[in-house]
Amino acid sequence: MKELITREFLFDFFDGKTTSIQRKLIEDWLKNAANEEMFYSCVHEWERLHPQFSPDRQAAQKNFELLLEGQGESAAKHPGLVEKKITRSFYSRGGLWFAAAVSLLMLTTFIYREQIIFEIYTSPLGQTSSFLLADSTQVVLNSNSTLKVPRFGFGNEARQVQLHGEAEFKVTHLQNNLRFRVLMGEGYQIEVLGTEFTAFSRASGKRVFLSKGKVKLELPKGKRLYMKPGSYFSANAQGDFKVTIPKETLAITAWKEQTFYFDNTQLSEVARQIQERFDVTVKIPDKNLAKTCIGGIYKARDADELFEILSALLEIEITQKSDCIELRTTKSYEL
Amino acid sequence: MNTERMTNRTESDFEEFRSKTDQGIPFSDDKRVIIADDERLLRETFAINPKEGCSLLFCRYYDSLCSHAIRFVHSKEIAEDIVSELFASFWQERSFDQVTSSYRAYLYKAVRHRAYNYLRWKVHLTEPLDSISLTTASKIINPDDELLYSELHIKVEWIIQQLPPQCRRAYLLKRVEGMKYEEIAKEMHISIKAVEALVSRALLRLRTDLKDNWFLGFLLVPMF
Repeated sequence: MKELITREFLFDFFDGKTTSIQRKLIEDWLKNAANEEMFYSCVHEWERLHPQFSPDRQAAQKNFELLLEGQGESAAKHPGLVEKKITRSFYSRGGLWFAAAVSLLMLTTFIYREQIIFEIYTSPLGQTSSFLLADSTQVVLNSNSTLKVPRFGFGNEARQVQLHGEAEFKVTHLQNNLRFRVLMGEGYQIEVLGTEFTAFSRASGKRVFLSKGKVKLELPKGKRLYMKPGSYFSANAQGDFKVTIPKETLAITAWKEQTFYFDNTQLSEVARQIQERFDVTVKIPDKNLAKTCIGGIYKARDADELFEILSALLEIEITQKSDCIELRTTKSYEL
Repeated sequence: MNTERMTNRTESDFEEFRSKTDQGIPFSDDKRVIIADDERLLRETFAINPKEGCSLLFCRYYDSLCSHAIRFVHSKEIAEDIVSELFASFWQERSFDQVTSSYRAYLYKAVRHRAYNYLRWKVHLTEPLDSISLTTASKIINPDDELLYSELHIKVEWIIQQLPPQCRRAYLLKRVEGMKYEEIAKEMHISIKAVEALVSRALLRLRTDLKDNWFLGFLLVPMF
């Protein structure tokens, strides 16, 4: 039988020219693990003989070299652009109008339905809260975050929760191996059996840090990642993402102690974190001030405490406007 | 097995041989080395300088991996992105340390997984078909998998061949070439609306035909 499975035989199979009887021969041949090598060797040769198109390898290789040197982002920029265009044109005619009309009608009923179907856990501003779910999973919610858990059927047929904000999960491994899923919106989804991890889902992006166990991360457009302990996934709002193994995890876990961890962090970034954690809008009109960097570990239970710290660190004036806080320099900026 | 009669060796001499063939490793080990030998230089490079190894790997397999991917995803841009992302995570996760087969086999398997995931998303399949972790993929070999992936791209091609010529042409120009609707309309001398209708019809046909004939045996056990 070994003599039957030749290179040409496999080529015919790849071309779709073989019969089901011949297919069975290949299937049996592949039961021998050693033949897998030859199979893929033939796939490769077949592709080389019948290329479907000529990709721009130079450009792609250049990007790859940059990544190897640690200067590039993972090449996830294109799909976002391409796919957004495609889906938009798909819905542009008629579909969107119809959807708008129907959703308006359903919106009112939907709002009430949510309260009944889901148990909504929230954490007040400036505080972290711990919860125990019906399946004994422990959740610590960061301030200004919500977790939606189905009231009915949770833990029996499915364990699925929705997160907006930031939370740490210690998921129990159930006897029946029922998966635990965290939906973070926009096509991002975490799936585990029983592990410990932190998830962050806000407008600025999505982040997942895995402490123990394994995580299957589903990304938009059908992509998926498997994470190992100690790895840190971060994606920005545009969908560009990367996975790193950080040596210093304090920045990621500091929030549990109502603490902020700054490491050469620009003030504009500090302002964004204040907005995310305390829901307070901070504006910094002076561009130089916005770029000033600070560092350190600071405990702050609310925005005022952090502002006190900031005014101690820098020469700034904090003014309360009608809808936001403004930060200005008190003196002229000195280097 | 009565080996004493055949030779003057004892049964214990054959023990080692028997267990090796049971594992599927062919009797003559040299044969196996010859097949993967064309990657010997790559393996040696990885041992010294993984960056260089990845670079060489990219150079050697990028083009044909892209060609293979586009058979599933039917888009030049998506195919290139899938392969680039594959190499990126190959480097970032140091997969080269864990590969037990040839790099070629690993990369092709990985590209097929990703292309399949994309196609599944594109065709809106609702069944939760999980796929196994890529690092374990090289250890657990389900013979059906390789064939099913191949048959999938054969099937996709067949579906497209069955389309009426105008439909097929519009679909290929839009999806594979990535042309805009206006450009296609101009080339085919039809209205933009007509182009949209043709492309939608092709996608719908793909969707229904793949769903109907979906490989029920394609349920791979997730390994956590």
